[in-house]
Order: sequence, then C-alpha cells, then structure tokens
Amino acid sequence: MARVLLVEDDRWQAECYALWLTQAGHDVQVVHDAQSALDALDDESPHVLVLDILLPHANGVQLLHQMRSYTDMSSMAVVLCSSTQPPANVDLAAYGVAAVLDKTTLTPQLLRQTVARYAAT
Amino acid sequence: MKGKGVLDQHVHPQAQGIDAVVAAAHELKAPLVLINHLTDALNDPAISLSPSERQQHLRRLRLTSERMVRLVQQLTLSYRFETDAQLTMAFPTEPVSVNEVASMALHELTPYATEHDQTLRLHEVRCHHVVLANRDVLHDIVVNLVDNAIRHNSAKGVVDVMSHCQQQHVRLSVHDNGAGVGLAELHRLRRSLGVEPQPLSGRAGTSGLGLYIVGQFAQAMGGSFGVGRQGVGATFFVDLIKSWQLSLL
Repeated sequence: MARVLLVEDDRWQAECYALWLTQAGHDVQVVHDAQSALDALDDESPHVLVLDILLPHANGVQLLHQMRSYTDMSSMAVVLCSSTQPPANVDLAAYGVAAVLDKTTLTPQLLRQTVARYAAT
Repeated sequence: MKGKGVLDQHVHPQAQGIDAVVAAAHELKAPLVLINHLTDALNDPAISLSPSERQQHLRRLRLTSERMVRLVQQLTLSYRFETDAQLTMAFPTEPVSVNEVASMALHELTPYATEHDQTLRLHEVRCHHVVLANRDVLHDIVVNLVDNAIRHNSAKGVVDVMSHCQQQHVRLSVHDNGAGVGLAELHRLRRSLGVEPQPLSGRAGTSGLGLYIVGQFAQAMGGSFGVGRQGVGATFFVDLIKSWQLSLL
C-alpha cells in the first residue's frame, strides 16, 4: 500500500482516480489546486504524487518547481497525468517525474500498475 | 449583491482570429475522457462499485454526455454565425422575459449542479425584464454562463443569476465564488475576450470557448458581453436590448 497524493482540479475525474487507487489498496489524498498540494506535502509524505498539468493559477510543472525549492522530493515519485502534453523544454526527470500518463488513453489498470510500480521503488 | 461590478468591462466579439477547431477539440476532450473513465470503472472487474456508486457513475455519464450534446449544438450555431453573415441579419428576435428563460435554464441545469454539490439561485425582481432576443439563443447564453460557473466555483458553492434594468438594456449576470479575475487579467480580457477563446489562469481546463460563444450570441442579438470584478469570484454578464412592448401594458 502506498500513500498517494492526487492533484486533479476536475472533481469528478479526481473521484474516479481516487476510487481506482483506493480499491487497489492505496491511501489516497485528493486536492484540487497547487496551493492545497503544497499544504498537503507539508502534512503528509506521499510515496507517489499523481499530478495533472492544467491546474488553477499554477500549472503542474510550476508546482513541481516550487516543491523542489523547499521540499525533499527524493523519496517521492511523480506521475504526470494529463490530456495536455508537458512542455518539451522542461527536464521532467530533474523534477522527479517518473512517468507521464496520457488521460485520453488512461485505464484503471494502467494507473494502478503505474502507481504500484513507483510506490515499490 | 450589486448588479454592477466595480470594474465591469464590455467585450465585443468579432469573427476573426479564432482557431475554432483547436479550441473545440480542447473543450470536447475533457468530457470525452471523463466518459471513458466512468465507463471503464463500470466495466473493470477489479473495481467493485456499491449500488449508490454505480448510480452515481451512471448519472455522471448521462450529465456529461448531455453537456457534450449542448456544446456541440452551440458550436454548430457558432460556426454558422462565423460563416454566414446573413444568418445574423435574419436572426428572429421577439420580446422575451429574461427571468422566464433564466428560470428554465436553471431548472435544466439543476441536476448537473446538484451532482457538483452546487446551488443555483435565481434572483427574481419585481419588474418584468423583457428583452428583444431569440429565446433559444438567450437560453444557450444562460446555460453556458451557468455551466461555466458550476465548473469553476468553489466547493459547495452558490451560483447567483440575476437581472436588472438599465436605461436602454437589461443586464443578466451570473456570479460564482470560484477563482476571481485579477486586474491584469481583466484588462487582458477587455482587449481579447470575445475576439478569440481566452483561457483564464484561475480556471484550468477551459479554452474560454464557451465564453467566446456567449459573446458571439449576445452580439448577434444586438447585445454585448462583459466580465465584472467584485469581491470573491467572477461575474460574467450580457447586456441585452430592452423591449418596451410589454412595459407599456
């Protein structure tokens, strides 16, 4: 079982992913914007961060940049999950991004497998 | 709540500069993805849904597909406005009660709002606000603005719909308590909202196409579209030509 922080602004989408992961035995916390994600990182130490790119105010990559400046991310895997391509000029690996999932082809099984894989490392 | 915001700005749609295909694809992708995911959850043998969760998934599937149908219908009409200048000229308008149309639109959107844990409020006024409008298009405007407010409102929020008379027109406003529109963004919107889809920084996942369509529809009826800034949240409004016909009775 892994602690998963899920950052997704669409509430129905977030509830879907949370259900898929909870039923796979993970402990899932859901937040809907970048500031709440930063607050949650202070309180919890997630093993995996599942992060949408399009968020209100700050996008997912901007959030990763902020997180890196004051949070130890070495023990946390980041899974980007979006229907938008991440910016090509950003070194995602430097931000701890282990995987990028395309929402348009995402299935419950793929999300479960991806989180399980990176929760175990 | 005052009807007129502190910094109301009108914006004027023009049929240029819009990459409609890209914006439409963006707007349609999110609900399609959601439909996929809800369907996956219903079909995946590894996911066990309680009867109430199953009902919730089915409700959301229906509401999301209904929303997509509305969007496609509006995109179709928007495209006709873009490509057929004669359509606007021949656009039939009649005296229409703003409150009546708003009430119908809110009734239609109540299941969608309830599923989002949102409350819709129509502020009825004593005087009858009658405008020169096309009933169906005015209905689309209200639905679009309220849909936008529901999706971007704060959790357990309230969407307020109100109208009030001004000298030559009636203003129909939709207010939510979601991410507000900052001053700099307000000025940017004044220049470009209605000219082309404009994403709002505090409101992720939207291309602004719905608001563009509202502006286009309002202009087709001789009205205008604007955004206001007052306290928390955002207020979008349309100004429509007042009909004097019934007020003489």
